[in-house]
Amino acid sequence: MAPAPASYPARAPVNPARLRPRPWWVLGAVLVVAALTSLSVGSVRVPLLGLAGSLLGALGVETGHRLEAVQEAVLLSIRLPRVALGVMVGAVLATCGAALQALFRNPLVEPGLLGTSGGAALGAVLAIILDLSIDSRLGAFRLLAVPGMAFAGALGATLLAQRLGTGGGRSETTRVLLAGVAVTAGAGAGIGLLTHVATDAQLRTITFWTWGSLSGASWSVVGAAAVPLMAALVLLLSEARSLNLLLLGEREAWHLGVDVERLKRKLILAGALGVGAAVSASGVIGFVGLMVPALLRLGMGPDHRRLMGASALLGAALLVVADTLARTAAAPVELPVGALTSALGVPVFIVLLARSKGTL
Amino acid sequence: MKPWSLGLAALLLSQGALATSPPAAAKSAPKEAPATKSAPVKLVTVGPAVTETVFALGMGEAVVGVDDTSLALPMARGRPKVGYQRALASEPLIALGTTALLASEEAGPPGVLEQLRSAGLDVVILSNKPTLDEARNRVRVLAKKLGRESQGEALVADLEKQLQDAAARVAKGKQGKPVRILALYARGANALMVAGKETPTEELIRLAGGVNAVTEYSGHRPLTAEGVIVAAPDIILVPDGTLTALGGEAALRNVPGLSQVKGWKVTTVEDVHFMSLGPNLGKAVQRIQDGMGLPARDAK
Repeated sequence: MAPAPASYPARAPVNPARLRPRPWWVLGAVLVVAALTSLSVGSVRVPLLGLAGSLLGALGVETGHRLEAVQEAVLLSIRLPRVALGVMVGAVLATCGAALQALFRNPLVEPGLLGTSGGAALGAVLAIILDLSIDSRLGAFRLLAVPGMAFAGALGATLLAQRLGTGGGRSETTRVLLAGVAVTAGAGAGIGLLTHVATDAQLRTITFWTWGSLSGASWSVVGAAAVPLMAALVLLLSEARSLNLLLLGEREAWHLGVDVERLKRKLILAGALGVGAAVSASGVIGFVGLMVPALLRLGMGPDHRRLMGASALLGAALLVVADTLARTAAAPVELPVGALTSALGVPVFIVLLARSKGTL
Repeated sequence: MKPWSLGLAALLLSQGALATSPPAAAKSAPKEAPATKSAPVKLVTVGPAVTETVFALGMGEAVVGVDDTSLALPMARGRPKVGYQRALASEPLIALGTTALLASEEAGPPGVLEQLRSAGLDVVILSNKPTLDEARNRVRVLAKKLGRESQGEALVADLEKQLQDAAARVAKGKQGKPVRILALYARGANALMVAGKETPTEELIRLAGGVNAVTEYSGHRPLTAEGVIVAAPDIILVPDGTLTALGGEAALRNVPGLSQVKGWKVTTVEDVHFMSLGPNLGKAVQRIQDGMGLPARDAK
């Protein structure tokens, strides 16, 4: 029931009671509708009734409404893994964004700004250029080469940005952001240089990584990404209460019993794990982590016990919708979904920036 | 609640608006038995060498889609496009009613190929190593796949005959100094790329009896002025399309680097020969030999 903070004077007062019990239902419904839409829309028509029947059929429940063989193959081996990956990646990116925004007490922070995404992409590109994924000497590590390097890059870049941004034992937001910008620029420069020594095949793979796409989603990709993505999600959601305390300020949180430095480390590690896994499965998808928590904060206030879960749901829904657009808007060509989320995100970013007068 | 309900409504409405199926194939495919051995073969071909071979085997009628690179072939123009070979999308391909994807090894991304296989398509990946052996092999593999072995053997026999002619011309025209050939093509405006080792053009030059002027690297690299001077070419080999795009031979002579080296002639081949070694590579070899000024086989 907290009144709106004074830093948002332009906003009409929201009656919290109207929003309090509903976000789960509403956001859950939005996600379900988005997922069903994505499953039924595309070059191959999949009618909803048959879709339901086939989904139930795949689970062993016969309804008598099954799709044609081709439609069912498209549904079960192309669209379903794609939606599953979109849900996981979207949820993780948005939750990471919410957590990082709380950590730095700044609504404009997102994994892309901190250098996490850039570092992950640089790691992936390095692995591609070095042909680690086809190097037989690596044995079983081959399959993990690109995702592994993406994760290492994400972690390295985030730690570097945080280290650079920490002056006298305290991380200052402006410094961290500047450091993040520098790290991102460095990663971008590295990728730019590497693209010039890349072969045609590598170049195309790199394009995929730097703009993001869910088009490569198959059950094996989903399976490999599910473990780190889910782990990151659980880790982030488990710290919702501590994040609320952190909003009071680091010293205040410490006096309330939060081990602030440990919490910071945990969040940054979980964020790098989540973003690294997301980038390794689908490339860099920008702005989901910025947009979703910011929108929700405007709608339901800053209580992270609700904000984190809501971010996961809305992030998942947003990415599924964006991916549906990416698949259908310019068929038969697929647009990179990262370009779409960024295109949506930039106006939101500008509006937020314009609204946040004075302190951020 | 209002914004949410609006969003919900928009999503539901989008059901109708987004369901754009390009050709009618997607809608007409249902209501029949799923694809079996007796169902009509519908092919999507990726990579000019594969596409050209499939047409040369007399299976052009069955091609329901080609990738962008195949559009360099006159016979493939007008077929539905499935996009750039390295960035194929699975669903539009399935919507064409495709039963088999015959593709050069550049085809991707890997995840999409995996999706197509699991959707029941026959995905055949052919090597694109730029060697004569692979070119022969590709014709035979495709012929076997399409049940056209005799046509395949006829194609290979034609190719052998053309190459024997070429070899005879080389033997006739043996002079002291080997002809140095610099092969380049335009990748977009002002981006000339030079063919190094292990490229289709290098193999063509070798079969024609010339010498690739660039041996420092494999694959294609951007043209540098110094590189041209080091290469000291007698002939500049370009695809027809590149010469047209540049604006003819005069424009080529003004390209930095090429303008500093004098005394070279221009020879062109069809665009596809720069991409891969197709079934008609013998004709390209002949054109290069004509450019080199080798005497015809039956010339006195």
